[in-house]
Amino acid sequence: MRHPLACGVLCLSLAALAAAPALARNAAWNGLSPGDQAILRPVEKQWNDLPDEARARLLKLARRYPDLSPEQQARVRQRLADWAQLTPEQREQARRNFENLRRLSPEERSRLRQRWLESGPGADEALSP
Amino acid sequence: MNDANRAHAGLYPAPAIVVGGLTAGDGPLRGLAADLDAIADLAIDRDRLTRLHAARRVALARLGRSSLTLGDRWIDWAPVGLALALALVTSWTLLSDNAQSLDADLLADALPFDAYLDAGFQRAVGGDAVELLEN
Repeated sequence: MRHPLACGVLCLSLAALAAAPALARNAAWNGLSPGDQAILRPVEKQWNDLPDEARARLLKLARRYPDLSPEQQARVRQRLADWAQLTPEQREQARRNFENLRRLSPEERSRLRQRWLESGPGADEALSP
Repeated sequence: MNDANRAHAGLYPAPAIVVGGLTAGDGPLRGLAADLDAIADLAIDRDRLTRLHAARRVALARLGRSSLTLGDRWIDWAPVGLALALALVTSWTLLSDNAQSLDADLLADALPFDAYLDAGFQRAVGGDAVELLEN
């Protein structure tokens, strides 16, 4: 073949394109692995009604679950059902604020976390920088 | 025997004479280029082969670069284009992967996700004004 490099790159591109949406496309509840089902059990009832993007995110969470500490795993199990109940806008809002918090310095992050845990929701003055 | 035939028979050593004798348009030149390609595949001596290649180059130049080299250029740039496409797809996949991993970090975080929906907390982390939980 005259241009093996071109063919190789084309094959890789097609493979990458084919693999990208596969995670969400094959994500009907009955199609999940037993391991994924065990982790995602709290959202089983909503699962088939969730949009592909939400399912892909939860599947990603399930794949990362074994790498979490036992304490983190317990938090995920406890919060998963409530998380799935949020509207997509609320989830996006939470993600945005979570990312904003991660951009702060470690000291500032720690201070804000501590203040929120002590004061609870709505404590605007306690949280002001 | 005309000039072209003499050149094919190797009687004329200078290829420019062969090409220069054909002035009736692209058709004869294309034919000449094809003939020379065919002849070049035969087992002939190096000097004659060199002359034939030179004649072919001149003939191709007479045909105009745009018509004959466009395909070649496309082929030459194809790997670059495909590599760029692959880079774009890979970047998109990585970005998507990172975005999807965010939920795991968020749900496993020490703070409950309620915090990230709280108006005061949002202001404290420098986010935009909250519309969601204030009503």
